[in-house]
Amino acid sequence: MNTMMIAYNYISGLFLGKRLLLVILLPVLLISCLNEELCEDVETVPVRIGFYAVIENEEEPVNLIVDSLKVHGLGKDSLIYNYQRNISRIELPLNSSADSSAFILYFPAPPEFSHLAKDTIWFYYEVLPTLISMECGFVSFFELKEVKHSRMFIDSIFIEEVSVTNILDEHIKIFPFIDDGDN
Amino acid sequence: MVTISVTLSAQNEQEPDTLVKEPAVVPFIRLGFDVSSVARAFTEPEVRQFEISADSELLRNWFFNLEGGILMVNSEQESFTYNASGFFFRTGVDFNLLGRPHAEQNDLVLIGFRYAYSSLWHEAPFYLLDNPYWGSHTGSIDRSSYYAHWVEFAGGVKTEVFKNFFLGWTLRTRIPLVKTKDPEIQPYYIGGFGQGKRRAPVMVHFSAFYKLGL
Repeated sequence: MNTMMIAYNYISGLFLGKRLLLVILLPVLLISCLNEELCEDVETVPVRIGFYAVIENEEEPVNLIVDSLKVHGLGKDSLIYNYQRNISRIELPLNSSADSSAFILYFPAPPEFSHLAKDTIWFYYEVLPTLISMECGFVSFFELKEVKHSRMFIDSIFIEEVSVTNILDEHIKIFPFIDDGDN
Repeated sequence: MVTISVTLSAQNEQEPDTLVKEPAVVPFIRLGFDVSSVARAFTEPEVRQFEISADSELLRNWFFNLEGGILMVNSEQESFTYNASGFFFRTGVDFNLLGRPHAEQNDLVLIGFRYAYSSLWHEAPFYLLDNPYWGSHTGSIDRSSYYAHWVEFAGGVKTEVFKNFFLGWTLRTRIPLVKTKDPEIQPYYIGGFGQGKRRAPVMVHFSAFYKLGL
């Protein structure tokens, strides 16, 4: 027997018996079923934001926990976060009927300074209506163009990912001013 | 010495008998129909795709493939209307890892490569974007064209279940090359590729084939 015959007998013995075809098909069928899209429970795709601090001798920014935070949209009364405590990440819903949205963030501060302890963030973006599935219909994805902010508590903002989709990536890093205790 | 030389001579004479010559390539064309696209119509009837293929063994164990099909998407729901129609084709080669040690052996274990192109027109005459915080609103997107080029790497089997009738499957990974830049809307389904929002989908195709001699 030459090498080709040995290889053929080996592979055909393992895989190719006609009665085994169904056995081969079955797991593949399962894989293809698992590949089917599930209806994601999404109404709006939020921009995902994390709070960070740059610490000396640390290569990467360190995740920061904010004591409490209140957030609402500019011109809206209803709160997205109502002095939520110990928060390190927030999700803000962008307005899909405009090409910009603004939010006011209230940071913890002594009562006499509370009127100063707030910042406004403006997001500028392109709205990308996307048909998620026949069951879920259309959802807005966004492509961030620019982010601006006031500088009461927020020192700087870094856009990590411009594409705001239903993938759970973090899009924005916020770096608040840090009191290092020297003053 | 005499004994040894006789033994070697006998082995040399027997060697040609142990070599199995692969049968000559007989011209044929094998026509195929993608069964998975029919199965898909049961799970998502709004998306209809029909795909046929033809392959032929041009060189021993090298199969030239041509595949093509059409796509139709029509969905009218409470929150949106979406329509699309288009066509696609793929071309490439498969290599049979098994070889063909004897004439009765028609089963194939294949690895292959494809270049593919798809073109479609699509529109969303009405859609609703739900936004509990800022307020929901409706919109529409005019009819526009979309195209995509991609390559595929494939692996699978074809088994002759009856004379000249084959069943088989291939597992394919698709790598996009060029597509319409900044479309107003991403297509829901790209013919021959899969869902438009997927970056590099891995898909399974089940097909039935009939082999015609030439």
